[in-house]
Amino acid sequence: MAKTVSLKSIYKYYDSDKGTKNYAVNDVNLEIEAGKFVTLLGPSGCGKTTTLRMVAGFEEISEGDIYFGNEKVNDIPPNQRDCTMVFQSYALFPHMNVFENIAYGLRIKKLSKDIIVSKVNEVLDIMNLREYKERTPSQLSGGQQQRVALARALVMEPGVLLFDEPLSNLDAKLRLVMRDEIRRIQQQIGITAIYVTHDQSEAMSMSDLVIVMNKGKIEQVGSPIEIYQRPQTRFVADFIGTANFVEGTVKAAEADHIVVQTNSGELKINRTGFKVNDRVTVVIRPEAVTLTKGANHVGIVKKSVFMGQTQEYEVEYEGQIIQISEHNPILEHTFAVGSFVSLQFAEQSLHAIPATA
Amino acid sequence: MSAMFKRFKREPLLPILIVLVSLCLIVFIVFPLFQIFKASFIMNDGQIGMDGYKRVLSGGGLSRSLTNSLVLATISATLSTIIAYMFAYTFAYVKIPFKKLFNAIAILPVISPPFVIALSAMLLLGKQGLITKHLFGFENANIYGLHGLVLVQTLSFFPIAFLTLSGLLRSISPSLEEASQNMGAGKWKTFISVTLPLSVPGIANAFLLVFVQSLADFGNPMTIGGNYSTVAREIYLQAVGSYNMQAGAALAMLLLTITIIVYILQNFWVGKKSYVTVTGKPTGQRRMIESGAVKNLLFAACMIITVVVIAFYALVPVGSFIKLWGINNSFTLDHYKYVFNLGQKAVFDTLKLAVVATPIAGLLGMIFAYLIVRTKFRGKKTLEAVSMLSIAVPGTVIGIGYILAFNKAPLALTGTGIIIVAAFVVRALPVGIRSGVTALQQIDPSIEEAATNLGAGRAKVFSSIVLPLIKSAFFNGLVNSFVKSMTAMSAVIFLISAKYNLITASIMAQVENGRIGVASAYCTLLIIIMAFALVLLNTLVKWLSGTNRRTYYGKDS
Repeated sequence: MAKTVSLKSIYKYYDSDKGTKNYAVNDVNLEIEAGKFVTLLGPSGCGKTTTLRMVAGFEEISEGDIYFGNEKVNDIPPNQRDCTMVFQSYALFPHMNVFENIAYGLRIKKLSKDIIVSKVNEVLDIMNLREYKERTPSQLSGGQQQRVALARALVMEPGVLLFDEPLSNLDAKLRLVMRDEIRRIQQQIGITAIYVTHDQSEAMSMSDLVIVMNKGKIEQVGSPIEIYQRPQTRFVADFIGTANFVEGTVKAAEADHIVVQTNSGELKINRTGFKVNDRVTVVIRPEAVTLTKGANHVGIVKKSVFMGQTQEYEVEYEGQIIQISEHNPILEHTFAVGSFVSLQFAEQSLHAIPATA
Repeated sequence: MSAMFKRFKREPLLPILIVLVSLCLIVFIVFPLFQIFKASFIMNDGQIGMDGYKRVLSGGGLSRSLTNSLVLATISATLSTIIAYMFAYTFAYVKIPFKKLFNAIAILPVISPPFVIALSAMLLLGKQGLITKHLFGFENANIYGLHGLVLVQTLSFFPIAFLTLSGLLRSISPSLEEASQNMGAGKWKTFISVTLPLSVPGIANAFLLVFVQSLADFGNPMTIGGNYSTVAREIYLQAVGSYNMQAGAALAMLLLTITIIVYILQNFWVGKKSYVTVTGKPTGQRRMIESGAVKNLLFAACMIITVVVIAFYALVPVGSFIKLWGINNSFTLDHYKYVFNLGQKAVFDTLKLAVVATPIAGLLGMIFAYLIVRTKFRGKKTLEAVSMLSIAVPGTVIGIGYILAFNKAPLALTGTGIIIVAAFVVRALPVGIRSGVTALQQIDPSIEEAATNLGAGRAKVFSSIVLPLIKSAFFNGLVNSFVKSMTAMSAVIFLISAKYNLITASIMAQVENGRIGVASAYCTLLIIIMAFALVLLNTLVKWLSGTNRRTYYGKDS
């Protein structure tokens, strides 16, 4: 049975030598619906893994409460919590074969032999591992080890499934395959999943909800597209994808858009919620700008790199380097270094955040 | 307080273990050492005074034993390190045949009884020596004294240095040397400017290891020291011979101070200087020196030392069948008859006590290692420090500490088997802890977390995951404890009684009485017992790891 998970004002701190407290996790509040796939995303040291380990019970909670469903789990030891985890290093038991690895938790539960065999076989089938069940972990490829780790967690039919950067040890191609597979199985079973990663494309492609963390705090909670297109802070905008930042002041606030006065002239942005004279930072994604030969907003190309799917430019514009990415580049229409170009901003794609955020 | 109680209720096993283990350390290491400290200030009439230290430092015989020990340790450590470096370099850099043989020879002295080399030194180079008298015709050749000790200690201890250095030399990345050659340096220049500087920490470490071993050595000075008195021997003579506890204790304190200083030097100074970093990247294969004068020279040198070591070991069994070495060289079984009649008790006592001590030391070592590596609790640092520091405590110091600590209530253990077992365990423990710690550190902690996550409690995690994974370290610990216990002498020589006698003590008594043949028979027997036990333990390991696997898989498989 998939469970909801609630984190209420969770803190994790360590006493420092100076008598002050070092916060690893700082006032994290989170409500996770049953059956959802939620990702904790952030740079290393942001507290995402610590949060996950508090959910699993491997770290003690300094302050706050964690609930699975209606049950408070703070004082439930890790071996009795209704959650299983897929570890970054897979943590397969090297002295047991695939079958024994997967059966380990069921044996601890003291289930009957027949039930164990049928449950393990079932999960082996789901994970396409049947033919490998007598192999030891060292005889498996990275992807197969990853599957065994997932199978071992799934077979317990936990209320919550936890992932601690499970794909970071795989090569790039396999990572793409596995993230689809994990997402498919999670949806097929309908289990609640909490997934920790620092890889934004992983977070984007798998999650119902992305939680961006920084320095122990939640920066933003939202769907992948919200996180990318409507970042609430400069950190989120910068961490997710590439962003150019242009400072400015709101000159006019209309019903469906604002006009921002910047060094580089006026920019119309389809966002609301700002007052005239508010200081804002305009977030310009590289794909929100197109380059033409016109005479408006003129800049000079400083760098031009062909990447296959895109042509990447760095354009000096009003004293600032703007990164621009043009899709489907065509040989005749690319600009060489030193060319003068006109920047066209797509007002739908521009975004503004308060200058303080 | 309530949080502590909650944690205790959740996991009662851990605090109980910690308390038990700490108690063991306090009773069997801290308390005896404190007793020595106390005794070193108490004069024969019960007054407090500095007489002991005054005597030790005033320039008399006691003072001389201190300087003697330091001189001997310096020479032995220097020679051992040079030989060991040569061996280790040859192993890592030169392509030579018989590597396996050399390796076995280098390891052999580590597991042999403490007397073997001293005994064969007498047989080879003594007054009736095979070489001295029969080959060169010297009359009155004298092996006793500093030169004899240097020879015997160097041959006994260079393997310890070898093990340290060969590990270090192998871990130097060949790419560093290739870089040096790539920039134009020749082989010799590369050795002098890259390889040698990189191995300096290892050389220092090896030197200090042997230095301490030599200082703490009791068996060799006792048998072959002659008039050259050393500290470890003097402690025994003061405490047991002339029953001057204060002088013995003061000497023990000084010896302990020196060994602890060396230990600290080794771990905090040399340890920090180590340049060798372990990366996960597999380093490339080193191109071995395959020909040339260097190869021939190193090969010859290793060969000579190997032959010498083999000769030293082969001689003892030979000597055990000879009536009176050098005087009446006829074959006899008399020595063995003597050993099997009068010596039977010592053999069985030693076996019995070693068999009791072995599993205790083995298991305790793993528990210590587990507590140190995998748990957090207040006082852990102290526990770790004390358990590790005990490796620096010389056997004779433990010995005198035990008679001081356990001869009166509440812990009147003198004369019992318990005290000998305790000494065996304490002597064997540090190595067990070390191998356990190393093994545990190589295991990804998330493997244990995975087991916990799947529902296993701490005891279950330990038995189903940790123990199987550190099995080889565990059995290495067992083997080490057994070998150490069977060949122990320096600590237990203080503790033997009419009720419990030990082989090593019997050997020493025979040597003192000049009955080299009987001593050789004892030694041979000891070697045979140990070889047999090692094979047995090994089979046991193989058998144990053979079952356990292959339980059940799917029905339809």
